[in-house]
Amino acid sequence: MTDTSFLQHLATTRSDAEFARTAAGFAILQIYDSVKTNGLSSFQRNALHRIESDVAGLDAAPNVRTALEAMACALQFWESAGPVRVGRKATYTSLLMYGQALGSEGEWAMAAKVFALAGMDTELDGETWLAAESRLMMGRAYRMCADWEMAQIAYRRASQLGRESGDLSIAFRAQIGEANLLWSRGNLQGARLRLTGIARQARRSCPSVVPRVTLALAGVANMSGEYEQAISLAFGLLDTLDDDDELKYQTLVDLASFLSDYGLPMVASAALRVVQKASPERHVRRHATLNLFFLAAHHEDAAAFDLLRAELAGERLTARQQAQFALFTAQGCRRFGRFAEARSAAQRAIELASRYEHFQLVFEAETELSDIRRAMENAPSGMPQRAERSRSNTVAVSDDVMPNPSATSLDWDSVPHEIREVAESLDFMAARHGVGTSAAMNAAMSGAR
Amino acid sequence: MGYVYAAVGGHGTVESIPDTRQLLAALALPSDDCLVLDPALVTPGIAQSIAASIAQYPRPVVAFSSVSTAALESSVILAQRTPARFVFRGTANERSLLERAILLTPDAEFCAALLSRLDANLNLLPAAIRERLVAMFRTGDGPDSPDALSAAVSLPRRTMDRYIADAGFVSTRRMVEATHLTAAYRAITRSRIPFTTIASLLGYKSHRTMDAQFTLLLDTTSGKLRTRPLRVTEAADVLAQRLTERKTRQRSSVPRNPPEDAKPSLTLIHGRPRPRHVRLKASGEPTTNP
Repeated sequence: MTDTSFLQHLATTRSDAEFARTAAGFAILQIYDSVKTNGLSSFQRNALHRIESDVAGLDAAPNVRTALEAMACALQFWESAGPVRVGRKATYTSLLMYGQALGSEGEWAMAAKVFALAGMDTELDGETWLAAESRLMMGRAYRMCADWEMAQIAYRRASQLGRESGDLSIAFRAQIGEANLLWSRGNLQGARLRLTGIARQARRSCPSVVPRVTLALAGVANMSGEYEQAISLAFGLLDTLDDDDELKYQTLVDLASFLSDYGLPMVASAALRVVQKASPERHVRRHATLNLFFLAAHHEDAAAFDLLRAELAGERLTARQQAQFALFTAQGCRRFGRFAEARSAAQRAIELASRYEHFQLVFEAETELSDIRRAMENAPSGMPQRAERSRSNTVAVSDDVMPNPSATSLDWDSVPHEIREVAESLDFMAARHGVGTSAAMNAAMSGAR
Repeated sequence: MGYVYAAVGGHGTVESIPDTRQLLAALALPSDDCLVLDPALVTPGIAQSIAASIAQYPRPVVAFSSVSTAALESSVILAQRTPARFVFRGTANERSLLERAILLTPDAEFCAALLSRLDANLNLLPAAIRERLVAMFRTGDGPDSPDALSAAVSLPRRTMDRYIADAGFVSTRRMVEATHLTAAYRAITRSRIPFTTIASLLGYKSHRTMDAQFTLLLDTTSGKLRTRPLRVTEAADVLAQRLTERKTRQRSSVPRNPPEDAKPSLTLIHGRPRPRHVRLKASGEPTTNP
């Protein structure tokens, strides 16, 4: 593997644990390369056994460890089973698992390289379905890295390979990814047209993909400021997704983002609480908690803020999430008048974001720090408000934390009937999952009734 | 189990077998039901017994498992001795792969009849291509296009096409299409799965496109095949003839046609005259000269 992204990452790691897990991944990819080229020898077999025992003691997220163990195990069966090639299929699947695990830990640059490697090798090996899947994942990883060109190339290839392999859902998902690239670059009209066309085709030939198109259309509506339509589209989907947990929780997170942008942060919290409580994926729950913390920092009381802060302090966060956690802590502490605490949290956010080169977060944390200093100079109550209501500018809302708060919450009485129904349904859903809605939301809703 | 229920949907019923003793007892009786098992839950010894039972009473097998040493040890045995199709857990779209594996399982009897008719031709192929093609017919899985097949057998596409033609087959593409047809045969003749679903699972744009392939390869449409099923031997005869009919044409006085999927790329490179009104931009995109 000639790519240097792993080496670059190793050179910039700041903890032994991070170095060890990246090195284990790099070592396994080197052995994979060697087995692929030269076949499996006793030397490589011994190396795989050693890595297997090392991986067991790694301080890594469970999905990273599982993926590395799967790679080490599958490689030992590389040439097994004749023309059916079970070992190769298992190895390629493990490679994809490793890429996904890196992605869920926020290491999108390394994930993109792993998917690119898997895509190239599976294609050269005639494993068309796995190649299509790899290219689809590669497109997403590059989109998360904001490398639009590479993302587009990957999505186009995924679409071709998806059709070739007979899996239209991959082909359509790749097309949705390409449309999402359009709106990520600001071409909302183009994205809407494209998605409408995809929806029309998908209804005819691959109905299972229609909910994903609808969710993407809701994202475009939200970006266009058509919040009510975005909320209605996303909420309408929920009833149809009983057997698809992944998409159900993605929809709830996106719906929360739309509600927050619309000016109903308390209702957004209800949706996120359901995800936090019920999602089977640990990283999705963690992501929801971080989003909840963000909303608490801007809209809830100090008790709710401190509770979530304590919860997140014990969580294993990715580098980006650590920086976000510090930033939201600073924002919340400033709001509650704890300026010294806010200042040190903002400084930590700047330090973390600079170290891991998340420059947008550096900018936001620096702005926050100057706001804190101004507030300290003026009066305890002089918290500057951002003048305009700003929308999420993330690549895909379910992939990131809502970055900007709405300046004000909407008055409940001015909320249209349909959106109130959405809020009440989410409230009911939260209650059914045993997560009571916040006092603020209860007060708002009962006042309106 | 949830994945299996979701994959089967309303197209069939799922019966859960709680232990290997009951599984082996069930396999000792002739049945056409598809067996979905997790190889991680059976020892290599049990996998050998399962393989022996399936050799005696053939039935479709789908192995669905996460990647682990235990799973792979049993999987290797199943792959060598049964027509099992493998789906490993861990990919984002594994549900759609599992759905295709469960709903498009080849008909063992039809495959055996077809392969026996193609045996002489298949024996003329190099081992790598022959084994690969046989595995594709038996499992309903494998390369989905001629290019993917050539990649899988590590041969240049043209070399593989030549081997296929020399063995008396019409074309590589037709062979790949035939593996799709055999994968869909059971779903069409023995289930009520809608044709649009089957067409979609095979990657055809529409039911009509799938029917065009069925007409080409079996002289019948999917609808007719469901309402008036051909006998397995009859279907195998027709398909075998469609796969090898080029040989017959060679004997006749009709001029020999090139294989239908022979690539025209060399013709282009070696100077088919480019129309005058088309010029190439520096980027390589053709533009129309006003």
